[in-house]
Amino acid sequence: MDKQCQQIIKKISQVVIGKEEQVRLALACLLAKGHLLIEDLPGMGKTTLSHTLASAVGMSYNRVQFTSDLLPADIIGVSIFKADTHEFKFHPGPIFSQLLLADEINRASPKTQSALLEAMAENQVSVDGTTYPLESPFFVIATQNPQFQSGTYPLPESQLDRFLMRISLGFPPHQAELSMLKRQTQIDLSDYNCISYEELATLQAKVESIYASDEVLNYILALVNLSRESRDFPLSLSPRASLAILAAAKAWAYIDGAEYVTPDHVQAIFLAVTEHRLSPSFVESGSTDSLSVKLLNSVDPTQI
Amino acid sequence: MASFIQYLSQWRQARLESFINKRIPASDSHTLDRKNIFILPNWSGLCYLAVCAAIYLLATNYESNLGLLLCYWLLGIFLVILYLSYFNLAGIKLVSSQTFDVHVEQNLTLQIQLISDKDRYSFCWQDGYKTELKKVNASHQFVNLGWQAKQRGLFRFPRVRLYSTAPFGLFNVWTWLDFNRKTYVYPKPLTCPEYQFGTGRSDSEMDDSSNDENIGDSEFYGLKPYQLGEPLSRVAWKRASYNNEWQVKQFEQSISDDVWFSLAKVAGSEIEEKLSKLTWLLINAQQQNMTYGLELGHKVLQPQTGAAHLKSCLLALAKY
Amino acid sequence: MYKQIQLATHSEINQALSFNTYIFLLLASSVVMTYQAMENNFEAVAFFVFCALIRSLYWLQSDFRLNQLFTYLIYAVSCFLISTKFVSSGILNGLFSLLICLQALTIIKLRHFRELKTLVWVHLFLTAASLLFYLQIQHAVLLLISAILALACLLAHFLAGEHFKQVLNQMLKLVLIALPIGIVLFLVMPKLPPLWKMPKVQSQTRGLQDELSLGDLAALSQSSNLAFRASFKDKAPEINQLYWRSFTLQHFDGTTWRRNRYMESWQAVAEKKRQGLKWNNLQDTDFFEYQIITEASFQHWLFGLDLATSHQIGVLSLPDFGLYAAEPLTKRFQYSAKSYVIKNLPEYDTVNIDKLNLQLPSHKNPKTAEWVLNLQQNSNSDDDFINKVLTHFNQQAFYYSLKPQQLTYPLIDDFMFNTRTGFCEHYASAFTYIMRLAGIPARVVVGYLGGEYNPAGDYYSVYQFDAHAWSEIWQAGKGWQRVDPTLYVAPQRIGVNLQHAVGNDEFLAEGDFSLIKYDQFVAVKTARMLLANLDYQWTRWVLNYDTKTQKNFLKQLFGDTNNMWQSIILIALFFILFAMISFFSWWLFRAKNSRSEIIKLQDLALNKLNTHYGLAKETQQTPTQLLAIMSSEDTELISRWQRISLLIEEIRFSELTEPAIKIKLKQLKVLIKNL
Repeated sequence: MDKQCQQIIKKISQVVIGKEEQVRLALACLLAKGHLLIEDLPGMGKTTLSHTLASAVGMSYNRVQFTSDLLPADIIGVSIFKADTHEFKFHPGPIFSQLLLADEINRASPKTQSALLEAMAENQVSVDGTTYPLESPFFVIATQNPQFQSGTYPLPESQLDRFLMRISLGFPPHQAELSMLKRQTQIDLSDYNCISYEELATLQAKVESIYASDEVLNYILALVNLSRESRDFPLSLSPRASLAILAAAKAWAYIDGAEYVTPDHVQAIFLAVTEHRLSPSFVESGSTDSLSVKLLNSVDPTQI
Repeated sequence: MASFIQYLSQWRQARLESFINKRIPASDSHTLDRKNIFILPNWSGLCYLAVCAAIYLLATNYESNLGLLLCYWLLGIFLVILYLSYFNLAGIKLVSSQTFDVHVEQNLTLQIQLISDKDRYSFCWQDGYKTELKKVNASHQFVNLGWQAKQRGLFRFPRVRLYSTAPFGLFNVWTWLDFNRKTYVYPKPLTCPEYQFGTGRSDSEMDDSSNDENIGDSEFYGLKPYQLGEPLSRVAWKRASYNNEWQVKQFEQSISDDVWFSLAKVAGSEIEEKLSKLTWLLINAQQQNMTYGLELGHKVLQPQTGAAHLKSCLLALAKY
Repeated sequence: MYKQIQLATHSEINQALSFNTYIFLLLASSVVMTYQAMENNFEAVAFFVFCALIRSLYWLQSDFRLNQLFTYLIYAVSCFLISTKFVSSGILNGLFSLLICLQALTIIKLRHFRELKTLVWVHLFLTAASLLFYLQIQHAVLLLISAILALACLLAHFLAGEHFKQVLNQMLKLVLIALPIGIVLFLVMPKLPPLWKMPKVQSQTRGLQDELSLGDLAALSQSSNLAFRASFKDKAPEINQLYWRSFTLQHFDGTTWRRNRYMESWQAVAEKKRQGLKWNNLQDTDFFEYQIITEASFQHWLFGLDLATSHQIGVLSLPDFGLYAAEPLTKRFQYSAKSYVIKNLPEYDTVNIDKLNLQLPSHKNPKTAEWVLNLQQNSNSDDDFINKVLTHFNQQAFYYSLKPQQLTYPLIDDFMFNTRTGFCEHYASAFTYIMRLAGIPARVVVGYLGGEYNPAGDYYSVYQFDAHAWSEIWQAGKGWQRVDPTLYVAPQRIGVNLQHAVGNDEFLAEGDFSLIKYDQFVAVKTARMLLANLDYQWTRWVLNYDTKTQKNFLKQLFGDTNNMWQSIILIALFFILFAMISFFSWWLFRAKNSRSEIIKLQDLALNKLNTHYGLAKETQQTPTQLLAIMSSEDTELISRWQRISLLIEEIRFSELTEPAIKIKLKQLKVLIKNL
């Protein structure tokens, strides 16, 4: 495993105990320059993970708690008339930061959600006819509650696609929860900083230069094509999804310390990258296996 | 007489089946070659030969050597087309993937991976939907063969006929492949909200413990849209009074509270209807993250949660 | 967002035809239909073109439907066309007309593969029918291409998504593999005689006509079409001795020379009873043996050097020394002949000589008659008289020309004393007339003179412009003697050829375009000779490959073996051919990028793991993931498999140079062997 990455994962795992797999995925998402969506029940450590991750990679971040009365302007910013200069002055919102932590994104109204997601897609915001570029790179880590909970507005399918990965944490293992309970001290997140923001940028550049052979690309295409051809999939994976799979697989390969991508790497990130693109409504009626698992189980990586 | 003919055709069918079973044994992957490909000229092929014969007669009677040359050359082409039709299928590898369990009236899908080293054309399958692939690429391609699931229980995927007339339509090239796959067909889910918090066990003492009492023990959890048939006592009337939207109060069960579903307790006129209702209940319970057990006559599945448990419960229903 | 779930069904076999298919069909049809139009089926072809145009509207308007009334109208038109053709041009043309109308009615309704197939089958038959009339190599090639294109339609239907180049490429491969089969079958399959009598092919006669007016040959000599070709077996006569006799003309009405009744009765016997004359007592003289391939003239006249005989069935000798075919020459006809060199030809029927060959037209030529009388008085013998006449032609201002002036009546007088310009038939007519005035039996002979030697094929080509007329006179004791008055006017015509005699300006001045005119360019001449030779060999080996040639060919191939051996060798040959065809079809249509070595090795390793250790791979598993299902005690296997899976991974997925891959493949092979 790559040493730097190992260090980061170790540090984060001290806070988010027993979730090494999810931490690794979250880091991969960041290295692949993708937005991350964490979905789980309240109290499972979604917010903790996102905060720890942000401080570990040395990013400046703003946190927004999404509520049903949150307005687009609250995130993006507003133009205020200044009496002394007789001019409108733009007050940037929390979105103008390197990392935006959007807590419980599905509690906000669809209008606010789409304002955020549009900004994510275009990397800029327009207020009163003026365009303001966002930080580059700009990341969003959003958390959301499962959709069958009341008082939520599910994210539309077209916009779920903007998140590179969706991960869920689940209950911690017995031993991990025990050690969490034993831990008495308050956590100071600033202690958990591992690398600077500049170092993160070089890591990202390295990830991009990981080699992916034609065989691996064909494997990804085979998986993606299957979702398009088969009757079993109500939604199919878009070309954006195949790019996402490749980027995430490269990041995973880098974290793994490999110089090239193999089908194992693709498989490792595949569920996180594709599940929310294939079945937005958590569980398909009657089906016991997730569609992404179906896809993976259908393609033989040795025959590509 | 009629019965004799029927008998004869049955006998023929049986002979054919045993011949094919011997020649192309069931396997989850097949590579097409001499052993499992059959080839015969079809009507168009015979027409082609008839045209050749007509040209031969014309050429002979007019002593036209060019006509004869054309005729022989067309015969040569016919021969080469025979090979091409064969090579259109020969050499391809067909690998079937794992199958998934479905409910009655859903599609049973057998997914087949076609591993080909060249372009091939017009693959027709005689599955439930008469699937056709116009072109099979050198890159990976999948085909989904579908059948309608009509009956609950074990479903063996039948021997499927794959045929092609490409590239000239003069020969039928075909094969019968048995991919040796089977799957279970679960009953069709039938919405039945009145039992969604369990039916209780058939031999339990608290036979008459009502659902409401059950709910009374649990904590208020949230609201969800009202569905027809749900008890009116749980409708949140206060909310309904101002937004005209009926919502039902939901109560979270404490983890220790095991929910039981019993065949004997479900109301229904037919056994199939009861099983259908149980299917819906089980799926619903899993979606609500309940811990549930199933009682099917003498067979009892102890309360548990998770996808694997749901699967074993549904399997029990399918086999019942 | 939700994708449309499509249920593909087999009815897609009957899907709409692709554009490529249609284009191939139109190209193929255009060739055959052009040939059919040239063969007197113009109306039917025009109908077909009309229907094809209407069908083409489909491409512009996909919802185009034919109106019911219009459909009936079209049926009516086709019925009318077919029936009129049957009545006017006989069964054969009627049949073709029927087929063309069938094509037209099919193409207008062309929507599905089924109709396309009907079109292609009929097209193939029409191609064969056109091949009956157009035998030259260029026509044959064009028609064969059209057959290929028709078959390509079927291929294009299945390769609907492909570029048309790929369709053609596949088709070409197919056709080339099939060609040897066709040729071998053609060479060795026994040929059957015609199974039943077929209606005859009808056409305009070509070449020499059996009557001759002054100016006819001059018109014919504007044509550079081939008349026939001759190849001599051992030695050939001098070029100025190549007087190819076709027939003689004896009856002169002052304008036109014709066959007389007597000769026509011989022709009738030859045609009906297939009986001709037998020339006896010719064995001890010098002779030439040769083969002649005539073009289709739709007449009975054949060609031969004096005195020609032939043993071929259907080739008969007539008393005027000509060879005569019992059947009209509807296609290229090949026969062998033997000519005995006899200076003075004997007359078969001496009784009728004077009656037949001294006939004079009622229309008098007084000036010529007076001149002849004068000259005869000044001559001491017939021979002297003949010499004096020829000297007169030679020394007076007579001119040889392809464009003689129009003569006025009396024609011979006008020619002898006024215009004095003429082509060979003028001189032959005048001379013969003069001889008859002088009481010497004489007749006009029509045929060809000379020919062009093709050294590559060792044969002579005789063209229509080589047409010639000369005279023959009979003297008691000497028999028939050839006298060519043209020789005394234009010696170059006999010694070299027509082009030299008349000069380049006049030669083929009014005829169609012909390469012969540009013979002064060496490249043109070489190319022309090459093409001519190709056509000659084509005729000899393909068009006229008959049972006899086949026997000789097989004899040459297998020697003089008995029948059983021959059949065994033939069967073996078929088997070899079969094997070759299978190999070539496999080889030409094999996969271009065969599966790489690494995949094969990987399959081998996985197979070994399955059979030796009972570890089966699930579909989605990679070789590395198999390590997880190995029992932890078997450290030996685990370490081996670790190395194998790592190597596989490196070869398949990492960035390696070719030599590095080779080294790793070798290592992998060893590891798998030891597994």
